[in-house]
Amino acid sequence: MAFLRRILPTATAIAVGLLVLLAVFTSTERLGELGTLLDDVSTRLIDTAVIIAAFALLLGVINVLRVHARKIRKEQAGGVYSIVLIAAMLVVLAFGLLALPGRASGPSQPVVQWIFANILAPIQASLSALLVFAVMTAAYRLLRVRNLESAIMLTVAILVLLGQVTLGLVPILPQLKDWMVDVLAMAGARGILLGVALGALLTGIRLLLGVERPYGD
Amino acid sequence: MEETGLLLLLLILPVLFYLTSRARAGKGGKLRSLPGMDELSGLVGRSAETGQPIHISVGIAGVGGAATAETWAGLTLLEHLADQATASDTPLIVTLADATVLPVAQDILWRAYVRNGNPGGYDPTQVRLIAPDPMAYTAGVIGLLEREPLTANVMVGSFGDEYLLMGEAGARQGVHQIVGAADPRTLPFVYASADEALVGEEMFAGGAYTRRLPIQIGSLLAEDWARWAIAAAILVLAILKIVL
Repeated sequence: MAFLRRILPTATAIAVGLLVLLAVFTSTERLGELGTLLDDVSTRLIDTAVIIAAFALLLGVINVLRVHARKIRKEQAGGVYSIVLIAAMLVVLAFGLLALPGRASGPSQPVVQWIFANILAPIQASLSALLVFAVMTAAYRLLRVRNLESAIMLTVAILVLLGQVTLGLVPILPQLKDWMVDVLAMAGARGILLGVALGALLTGIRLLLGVERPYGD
Repeated sequence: MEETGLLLLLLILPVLFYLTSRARAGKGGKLRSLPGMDELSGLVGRSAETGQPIHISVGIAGVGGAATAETWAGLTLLEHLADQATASDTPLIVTLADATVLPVAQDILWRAYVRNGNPGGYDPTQVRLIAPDPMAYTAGVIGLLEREPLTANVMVGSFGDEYLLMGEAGARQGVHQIVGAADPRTLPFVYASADEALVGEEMFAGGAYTRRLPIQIGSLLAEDWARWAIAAAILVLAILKIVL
């Protein structure tokens, strides 16, 4: 039992992970036939993963139906939206599966395209527009002086804003703004990115070594 | 590029094993306090007292893509919270945007129930796929934050600009928020709206802080060593460029 639940999945994951990693780090020119074989095996493994991931989408659709059907059944708050959601999902699915003459079924169906372009895209654009107001309220909360950190942040924000819209009254402000954005902020961002890259690399190694397992106990 | 990656991997592996052996011998040192991680351990207790669930988001990315490590950071924290929550029968609501994470998150939750001897308590709809599109996911999470009474909102994973709409919705509701993100463009929004932020690499330290296995502590130390080495290399190269 322990073999099936623990050892087999871990060994498979480590072997597959190492094979794919090896294929990334080796060039076919240098290894010749062995390199080609490694590339082929790696591509097949990735393709298999893609096919399995496609089944996850099916599980996702079932999950959406179960969650919202329960909401409707239990007459929870927002149940009306759940009815709209399920109806919209089924309508788009029906039109997507429908094969019109000369056209394959799928997202390229004209009706599905029309729904995406005229309903989904405008709603997404409207939500994106709300970001402006969210940025304003977030900035208001962030820039209230509570401690030294927020005082520094407020000072920098004012200097950058003045540097951005300066009317030539203080000639040094645009240069100061450029220096703050290009040197100070960029250095901070690169430091964060460096830490993230190292963190991601070591997380990958831990997953490859089977220390952290998203599968089985 | 591949050669650089391989070189980095080959350099870091022996360092990782050496530091892991030191951590195993009890010479790993003390982990510095991360307020976000410290807060996490008290959340489930608070939730058990109020009877209100904790919302956990593992981000908008899936497993298998470029942001797998970020998603996995969220899943690691989910595992920790699920273990605590199932032990005290506290409800969790997990939301995600990518279907590939759904079976993984459901499995994590189910295993936590089994470990705590209550497999019957597992409800697969505690994990909810909201929508694969980031904006649609955002709309779904905003609805959840506004409608469901929550003890806390934990969001750790890959997020873009749309995070701000969710973060602001949580802040408006007065929900305690712990958020971790890696994208420098998202971090200012996190800082503005969350009560505790896990900035950049801090979100990957979840396993070391919650499980404290020698290899996880060794991996944190290896990260620190690598960072110091890279910073020293940058400094030396900058000086050489000025001098030569």
